[in-house]
Amino acid sequence: MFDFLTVIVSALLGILSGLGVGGGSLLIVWLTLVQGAAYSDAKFINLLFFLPPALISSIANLIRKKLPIKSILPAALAGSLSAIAFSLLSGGWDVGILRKLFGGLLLYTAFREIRYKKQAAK
Amino acid sequence: MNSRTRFMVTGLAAGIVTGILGSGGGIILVPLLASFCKEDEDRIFPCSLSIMLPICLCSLMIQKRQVSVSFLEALPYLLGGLIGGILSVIAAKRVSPVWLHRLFGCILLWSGFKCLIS
Repeated sequence: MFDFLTVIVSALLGILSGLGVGGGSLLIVWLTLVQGAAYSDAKFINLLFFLPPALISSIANLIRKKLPIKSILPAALAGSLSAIAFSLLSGGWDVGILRKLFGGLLLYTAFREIRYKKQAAK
Repeated sequence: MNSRTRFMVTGLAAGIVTGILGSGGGIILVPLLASFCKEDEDRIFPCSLSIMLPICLCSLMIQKRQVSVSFLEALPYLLGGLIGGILSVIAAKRVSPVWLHRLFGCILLWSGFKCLIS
């Protein structure tokens, strides 16, 4: 049966993803805790789910001239290559400790972001 | 270090995190684009999304071999993501960058606690 609740939840999280504020991490929680999906399947669906909002927002931002293409291209290329390399390398790794270290970094960044103030005009 | 190298290092970090953890690349990108690349605040979130798009695509191609999810199972999420993506374009015109950072901070807080206790 087509799950309309899933579509609604995905649409709400898609708004966050399209704004670039990380709806994917919440989708993983929905998938694993509510839908009972395996973590590897949840990661895969999360990556797939991210593509439509990211593509639509990127096209809109390109039209609005908010994307410095010359800067983005090297970052995207370096990121894609490292993502392929580390996806292959980390297949059998125990990522438990890395995930906890990453959690600490997230909390530090969270407090910085919550206290974020408008930048002075350049 | 010139601007191009800074962007390369930033993309590299996002790719490593996404490759290992399967998510979280965008979470690394936003603060690095702001403090390391000194990108304008109204371009940080758009840049982060566009850098993450090919990174996710590459990670997806590798992980496809390790999971058993069919296209039909993923379809409601893709449809929801499509609707949310369209709505986000409308929302982006109305939300200030400062509030995006604060909303992002709240989601990071939740994600950070989740990583620590998982």
